[in-house]
Amino acid sequence: MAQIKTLQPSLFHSIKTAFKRYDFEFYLLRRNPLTMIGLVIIVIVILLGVFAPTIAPYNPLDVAPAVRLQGPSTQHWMGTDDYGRDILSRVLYATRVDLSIAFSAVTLAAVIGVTLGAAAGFMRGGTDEVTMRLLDIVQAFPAFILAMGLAVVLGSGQSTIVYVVAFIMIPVFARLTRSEILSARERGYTEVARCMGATNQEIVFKQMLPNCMTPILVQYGLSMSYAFLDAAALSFIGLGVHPPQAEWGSMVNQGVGFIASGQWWMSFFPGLIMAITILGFNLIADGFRDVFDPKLRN
Amino acid sequence: MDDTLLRVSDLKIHFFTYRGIAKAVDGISFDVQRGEALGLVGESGSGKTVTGMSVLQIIQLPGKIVSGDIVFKGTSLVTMPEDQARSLRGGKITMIFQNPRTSLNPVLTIGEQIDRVYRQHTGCSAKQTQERRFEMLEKVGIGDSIRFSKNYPHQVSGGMCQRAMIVMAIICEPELIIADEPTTGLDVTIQRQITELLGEMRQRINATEILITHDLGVVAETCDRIVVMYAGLLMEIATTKDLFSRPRHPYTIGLLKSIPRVDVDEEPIPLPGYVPNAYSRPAGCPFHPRCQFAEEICRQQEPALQEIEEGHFVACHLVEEVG
Repeated sequence: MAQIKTLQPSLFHSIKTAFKRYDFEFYLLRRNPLTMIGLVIIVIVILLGVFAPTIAPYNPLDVAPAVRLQGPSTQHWMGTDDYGRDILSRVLYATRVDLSIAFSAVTLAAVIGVTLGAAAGFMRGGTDEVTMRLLDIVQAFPAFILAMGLAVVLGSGQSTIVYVVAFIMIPVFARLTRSEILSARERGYTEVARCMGATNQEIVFKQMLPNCMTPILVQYGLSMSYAFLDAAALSFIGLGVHPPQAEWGSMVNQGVGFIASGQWWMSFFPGLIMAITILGFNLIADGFRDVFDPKLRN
Repeated sequence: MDDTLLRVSDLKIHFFTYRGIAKAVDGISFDVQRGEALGLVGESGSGKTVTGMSVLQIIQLPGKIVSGDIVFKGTSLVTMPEDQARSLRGGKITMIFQNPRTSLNPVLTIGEQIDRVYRQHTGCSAKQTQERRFEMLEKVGIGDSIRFSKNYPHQVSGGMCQRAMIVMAIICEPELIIADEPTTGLDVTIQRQITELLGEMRQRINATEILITHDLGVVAETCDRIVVMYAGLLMEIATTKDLFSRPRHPYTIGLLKSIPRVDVDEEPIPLPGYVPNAYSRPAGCPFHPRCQFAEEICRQQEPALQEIEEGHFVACHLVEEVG
């Protein structure tokens, strides 16, 4: 009689077994250096954001007219702005703000979008039609224009950015989840679960969704980059975080007027860290997509 | 008869699609006695699986039970509210599917999947459930049940997956097990083991079984009575012994002749043609285009199921001539 092969039981082995399903994928991830670079970038950026109060050499809000508009130096690595505030400190605090905006916005969008998509895909019929047509309407607008309009209506501020960015991202998550649920509906395990007396909620949340997580996570990574861009863009045009508080987009905006007169560092450094962060998230999402989409594997 | 566990009467299940109405099951009636093993036999597309699913009330739109009744222990399943039906499913009535690999959820461990079924129906604590799971896994011949429980379906063989499925199906000690081609998709050697195991488990918990299959060999070994379906209709109902020794319906005769046999020096004769499409079943007897005995009446009138001997029903106009 066929027996399951018994190996020396150990904690290490059981952890390894749990992840065995993804072993090959992890292997590919490690093999793809760009993905690793992306991962390293993100980890560094997150650490910088989290420990900003510890790392920052100055208070980001301290005005010092004596040192205004100074270029990068050993005292101020990234120079100072027109109020004499230290750009490095402001960039670090801005990282904190932008990270929390992007994470909250994308998480919110994912939770709502996945729920809507799962409901539409599972219930089909009228629910599906209504949900998807409403999402069509949202997607029919150019996303950023819609975000601007909503931000104006809601009034600028950090929480507004979170809601607005989340709102324009909901359709992507909903569509993705719907298509995944539609295919999961036809799988044997769904039918078995139904036969064994599982309720609809259990079938959706405990049987189907765990099977749909991979593409949703990839989308989560991709959406992070867009969330940074959107949040910064909204702040750049003055609809986001209010001035004394540091934020990448508003810092870039603040420095724009000084580029012509040679004080490039005011816009350059916040723009640089934003670009690097977005690059990091894009690399990771790309790497994941390559791993989980066998067609793109080389 | 008091011993009737399940009575299906004039059941019609139609699928309403863009192409038209597919009459998957179109007026079938049969009884299942307590404790027996009933074989539901027919070619692909004859409505066997849909019949099985209708007993569990899991026919999904666009499929619908348009008429008829299914009575389980005196209660109609067709009119039963969904929450009651749900507590029956997996509890008193369970189903085992073909292709065990795809029937288990790939991202959950086997142990988790078994436990869910048991806890849902009994409300036992996690610890009691775990003990019960180990006990059941050992009964189906899995030695290292602790390690086995932690495996994901892709980590074990198809036969092992089907053992896990059987545990899921019998852990709540159901009264009726519907096995839908439980050995399809398994190696021949494993098929045998699974068939035997299923029979043994069924006897241990004293359950009734409906075995849906196209494999007449399995039916001959394990079933007490056989129902032959064709194009959503019943062709013949008989005890296994009668059906194999004195088949009366030309379709059954054809099926039996198409099986290669080693003990008789005859070439198997395949049945010509295919099962008719459920959208456009031929008028009259659905089998007449493939039937070598067909006469004018077969093209015009649908034969009724008649009892020709005690417990032996046949739906054929020419039963006297053919028999």
